[in-house]
Amino acid sequence: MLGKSKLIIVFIAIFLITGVAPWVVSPYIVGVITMAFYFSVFVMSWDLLFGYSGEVNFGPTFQIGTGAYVTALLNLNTSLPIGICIIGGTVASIIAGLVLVAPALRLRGPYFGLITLVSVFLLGEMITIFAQYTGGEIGISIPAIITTNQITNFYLAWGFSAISAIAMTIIANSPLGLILQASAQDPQEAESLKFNITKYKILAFSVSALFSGLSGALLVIYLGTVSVSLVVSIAVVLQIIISAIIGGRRTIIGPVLGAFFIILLRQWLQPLEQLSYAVVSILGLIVLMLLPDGLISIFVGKR
Amino acid sequence: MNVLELINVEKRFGGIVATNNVSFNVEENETLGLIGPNGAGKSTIMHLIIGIHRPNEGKIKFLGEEIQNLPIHKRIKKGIAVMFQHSRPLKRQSVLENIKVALLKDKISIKFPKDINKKAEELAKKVALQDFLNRHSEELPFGVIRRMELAKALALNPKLLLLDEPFAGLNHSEVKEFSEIVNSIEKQGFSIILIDHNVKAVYNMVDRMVAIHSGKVISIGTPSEVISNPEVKRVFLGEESSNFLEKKDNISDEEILSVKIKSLKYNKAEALRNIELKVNRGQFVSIVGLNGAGKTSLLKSILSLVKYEGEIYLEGKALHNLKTSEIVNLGMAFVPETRELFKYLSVEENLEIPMHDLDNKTLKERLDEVYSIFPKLKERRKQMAGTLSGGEQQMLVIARALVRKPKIMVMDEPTLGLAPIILEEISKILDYMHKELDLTIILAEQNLHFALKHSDVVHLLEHGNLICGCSRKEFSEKIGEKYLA
Repeated sequence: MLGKSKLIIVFIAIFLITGVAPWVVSPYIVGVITMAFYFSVFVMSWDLLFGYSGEVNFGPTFQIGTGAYVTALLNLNTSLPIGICIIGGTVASIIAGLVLVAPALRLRGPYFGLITLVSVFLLGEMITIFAQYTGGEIGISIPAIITTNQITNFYLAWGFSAISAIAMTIIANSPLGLILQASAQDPQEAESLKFNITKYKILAFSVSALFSGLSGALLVIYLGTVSVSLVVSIAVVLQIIISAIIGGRRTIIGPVLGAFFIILLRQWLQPLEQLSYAVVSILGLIVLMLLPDGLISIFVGKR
Repeated sequence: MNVLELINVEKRFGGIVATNNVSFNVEENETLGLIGPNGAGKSTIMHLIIGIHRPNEGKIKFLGEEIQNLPIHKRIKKGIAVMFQHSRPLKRQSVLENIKVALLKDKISIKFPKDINKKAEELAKKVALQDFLNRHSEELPFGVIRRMELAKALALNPKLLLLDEPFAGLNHSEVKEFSEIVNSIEKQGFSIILIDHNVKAVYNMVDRMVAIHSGKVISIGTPSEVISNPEVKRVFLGEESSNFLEKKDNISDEEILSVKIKSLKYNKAEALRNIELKVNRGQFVSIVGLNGAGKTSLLKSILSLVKYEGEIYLEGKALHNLKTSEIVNLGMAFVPETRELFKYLSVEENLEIPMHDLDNKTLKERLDEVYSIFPKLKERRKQMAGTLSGGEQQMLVIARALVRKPKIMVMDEPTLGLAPIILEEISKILDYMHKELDLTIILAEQNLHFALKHSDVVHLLEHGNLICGCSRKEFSEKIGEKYLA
């Protein structure tokens, strides 16, 4: 692929530059960047599923939310160690991913997209219905904390995001990534090249759910709280999709750029309150018109 | 020994029988031609063999083993490979990477096998692709893509290779190149099924032929046996296709349309250059040429559907600055190649749409008029257009153009994909429009026989240039059959 080595340079640059943040910017901004790392993993996972295996997933928060809530509920209601709660949440998220595979095997394009969208509403409804356990719309606070040290928290997120990016980049450029792209392009032809595409779809959904669920679980532990508006609502879905598109789809590293762009922009525009959503959207549109291949194309050129 | 055996295979889609009691076999090292006109059921048979569809009745045996209930990938692993007519290769990847996909094993893996690049390069060499290895498939011509698809099929190391219309859409030199490659791989110890609608194209390449029509096998045997079978002759060659229809005697020499196109470009590619075309009132003018010669571009220019450099006049009125809708209102009707019907509307609704501005009485009269020309459409007037057969759809498109009572009818390949028997019907309709309705007709055609049969004047369009522009007799003598048939 063109500019592959450039992508790797961008990749290293992003993580080296952000790596010094705790020593340069205010503690408040460090907190924002920590959030941005977790969010970037959501966006990367979405990119892996859409950009490479061609599945239009309008419900990334179905997996993320499941992972986050299961972790929180385990932590709140059992005496299991934090690690086990996180693993439990991640496993639940993978199961949520597998639930979405069933329609993905039968439906394509907009029809599958609609199902994923419905899954987000369903999860939101479930959380509201079982409000006595989930805290409903207000959400719940949990006791678990890995560390209160902000710098440790920052590097935890930094490392997790970097490892996720490396893992997903390897997958995207591996035989597996190639087969996923072939089945996205033309499932019938891919199967006529002997590939059992069901197997690959299941795997793609599982991997995507693994990373986004784990990220959701870690985010919950970091913040000590979980709510629908944080990890489930459609606003979060939109933010993920917009970040991926603005950053540059099918690059894995582009979505990290997009995630930072959106999170930092929202932060910067916070004085505008509700209006900030509109401004972010308009800025996003402008970026898209000027750079249809996303922010990443500034560094690696047109694809 | 039989590599493949189809035994009484039947496939129904709803009430339609796509293949009816089809039986044939493919022997070891044999190249078998599976021929039939468009819509005969060739693709269905191919889909049944590779597993895209499963038969309702009958058995399919591969190397003695029943495979009709296996999924696609399991059949491929047993040794069947297919080269599709319409392929969608990976666009962002190079030719080499596209071939590498086919070489991968069906297992989840993060590392490429060590020798995969070498193997892919060897395959590329087999199909003369060594100069294109690092190019992206997006920027390559059709002929090169076709060869890449062949390399992918060969990568599977098949015992049986299915080639679906391998020559469709290729130009002369590409066809020659591709058939040479197929000839060279033929001797490598596997069987081939060559699927084609053109008997002549495969005649010299196959050991045996299976001819199908309307989902049934009508003849099996050596190429010469099959081609001399009377039913095959009737289906493929039509009965009187080479006979010219009588000329209309009362064509005026008043010019109705004059086209002068200096140039038409799509990005950098020049599709048309220095075209001059004059059409008299009541004339039947054909523009013949191969796929990609620029026929559709020329017709679309006349209707302002594409931008061009030049001048076009209809009855002295300049068209080049007008919008398509304005040109249509001046009395031009277009029958597009792609038909563009409203699939989910009924036949009658499709006919009513172009008459939206007429009062009910006129509308009714016009409907009755076209129904008298197309009684079949009247029978089906409540049916959804998308459910009509290809021939009926084509009639509906023509009828839809007629209801506005045009002066000129511009038709783009109305014969495309239709069986010879239906061509006869379309032919009669065109003749009626030309002689009885006294319409001026401009017809773009690939089917030379069909065009010659009707035309007063025939033009050959080749690489964006108009050549000849002569009477049909002159045309068939000068350029004629040796060129297109």
